[in-house]
Amino acid sequence: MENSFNAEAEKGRNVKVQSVLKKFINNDLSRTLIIFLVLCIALGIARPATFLTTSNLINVLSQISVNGIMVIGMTFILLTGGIDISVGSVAAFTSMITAMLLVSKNPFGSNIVVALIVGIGVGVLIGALSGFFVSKIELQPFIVTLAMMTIFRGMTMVISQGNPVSQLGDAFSYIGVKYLGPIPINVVIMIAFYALAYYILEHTCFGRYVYAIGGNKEAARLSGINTTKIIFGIYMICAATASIAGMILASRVNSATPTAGNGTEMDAIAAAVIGGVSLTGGKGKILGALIGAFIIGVLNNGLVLLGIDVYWTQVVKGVIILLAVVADMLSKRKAAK
Amino acid sequence: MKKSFAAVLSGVLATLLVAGGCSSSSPAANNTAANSEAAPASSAAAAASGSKEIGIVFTDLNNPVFVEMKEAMEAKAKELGYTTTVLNSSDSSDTELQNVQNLISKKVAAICLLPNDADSAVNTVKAANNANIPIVGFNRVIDTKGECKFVTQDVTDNVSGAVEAGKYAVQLLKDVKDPKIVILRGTSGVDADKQRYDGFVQGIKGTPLEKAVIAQVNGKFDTQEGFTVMQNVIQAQPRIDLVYAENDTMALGALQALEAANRKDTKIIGYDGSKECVQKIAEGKITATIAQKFKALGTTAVDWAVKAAEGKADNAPPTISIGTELVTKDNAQGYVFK
Repeated sequence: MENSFNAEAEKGRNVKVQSVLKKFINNDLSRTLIIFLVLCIALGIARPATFLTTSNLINVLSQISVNGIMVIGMTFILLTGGIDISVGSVAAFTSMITAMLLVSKNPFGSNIVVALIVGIGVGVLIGALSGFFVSKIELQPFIVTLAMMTIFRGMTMVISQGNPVSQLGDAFSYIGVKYLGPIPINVVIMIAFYALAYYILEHTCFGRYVYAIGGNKEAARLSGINTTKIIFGIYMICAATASIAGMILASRVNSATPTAGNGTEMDAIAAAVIGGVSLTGGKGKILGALIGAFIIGVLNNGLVLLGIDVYWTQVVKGVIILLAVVADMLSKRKAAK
Repeated sequence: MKKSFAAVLSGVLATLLVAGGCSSSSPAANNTAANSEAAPASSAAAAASGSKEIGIVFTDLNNPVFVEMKEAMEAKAKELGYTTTVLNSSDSSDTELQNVQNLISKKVAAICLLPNDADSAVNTVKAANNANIPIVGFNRVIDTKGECKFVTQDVTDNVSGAVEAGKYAVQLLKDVKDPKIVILRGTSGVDADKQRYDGFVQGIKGTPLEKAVIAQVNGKFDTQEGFTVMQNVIQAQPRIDLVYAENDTMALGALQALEAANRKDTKIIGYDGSKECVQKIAEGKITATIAQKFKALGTTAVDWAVKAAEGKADNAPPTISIGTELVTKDNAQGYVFK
């Protein structure tokens, strides 16, 4: 009698362990983390002398920071089922404004704090504009941000006349080039923003409403959520992160170029999607997006270290993005069953 | 779910391991590199590590002449006993910085760089300097502002080539009354645009062509853009005697626009000497081009990169100017690309 009772308890424990393990692997976040770890281990095995050096790893972290910060804002928007493809142009336009202020002879304008505030402020205004068209005029986010992307890439050309602006001063270089101890400052900025975004999305009403809108916008509106305000907010957040990413970009090369940020919207979206953020909204975690950005950054670095022919790099990158997204889709379907 | 997850893991692992296996430099070489003795001279530091690899960074690989350069450079490196890693900066200065950083991590013996733009490249070159990896600039010269150091930089003498284009234009249109010229400019802010324009203007100065330029449009060194802006100019101008395009890719776009509008009398002068353009010259569709010696630009860079990696580049000149060659119907057939 006792034996069968123990056997039952034993079986019960095994089932419990199995279900915890299953839960772990079923969890999107852990899956993304595992993919990232597998990637790092594979590269560590294939190229220990070049991948696993401190200088390489710090370089990779620094390279990730630009996309990493852009992904934060992009995630907020993707979570509501929207999209923002103007981030690259916003990054270029705002960093060009800041750069032009920094090199101007105006004592007020060339102050680093003023220049940054004006640049990022302009970015937030652009975001508000996009937010206005999406929430009040109810235009499709893709179209609105496509228009913004074109307008502000053009505006960047107009104010710069096609010329880069460089020699941005020592103060500005802190953002992209200098270190805080062993860690690049841009990485510190990135981590700080992720912590902030995590808090907002997981622990505030605003965050909950963002997910609600993504789940079902109409239902959210009917249940009393001010969807207009929230949408305004997320487009402003996205433009702000794009501006900050643009500042880091310009600081790294000590120059604001008119073509800066080209294509960065794709990297941001890819990182978020790899990290489990759904394009239809309502699903995904900000930490997943961070891991997604890490995966892309390590991939870029790894492909060079592995000596993959330059023409194949694009193909390999695309294949891996596809695999990650398909796996995510398959697991969602299984879970739905 | 477990199956698809395992599938993804295997997919990622497989892709990387196959890629790693197919790559040009083997892990063994990288590991033994660390074990060889160090040499005293700092310029030989990278070579002392035994790396027989040159990193080559292109600002973009869209232009077919860049592709020709790449192939010539890879062949030259092989001839000298070195392998190459070629990277594409996709016209982005930040990607260019990342590319050079990744090459530094890869511990290459030397780097050849075709910079995206002069100002942004300084930090990138500095990174290579700090890692003691010699770096050679090619195809574009940048002002180092005393902050970074190239072994040498080689570039085409764009101005003298453009002057020759101007002088040839004068010859071409000498019997035309009230000639009309359209100039197709490239991306503004790029040195090549300024040089190829200034040189042409210099070449037509003091001749009847001096006042003949009726329109200047920006084709951004791109075929599609060249086609579009040319179409617009054709609408506005009933007669165009000559189109001077600052590079062949735009010249080809202009040719398409002119053919579509049935403007048979318009002559075209391009710049670069791409295979396609020279072919069109042999066919009589384009009149002439100023051919750069692309292979020479690339192989000279590789030459000096290898010399520097082996510690033999102390007498390198700061810049090396390579001449151009006028290609017309007379020499287009069977033209040998230099």
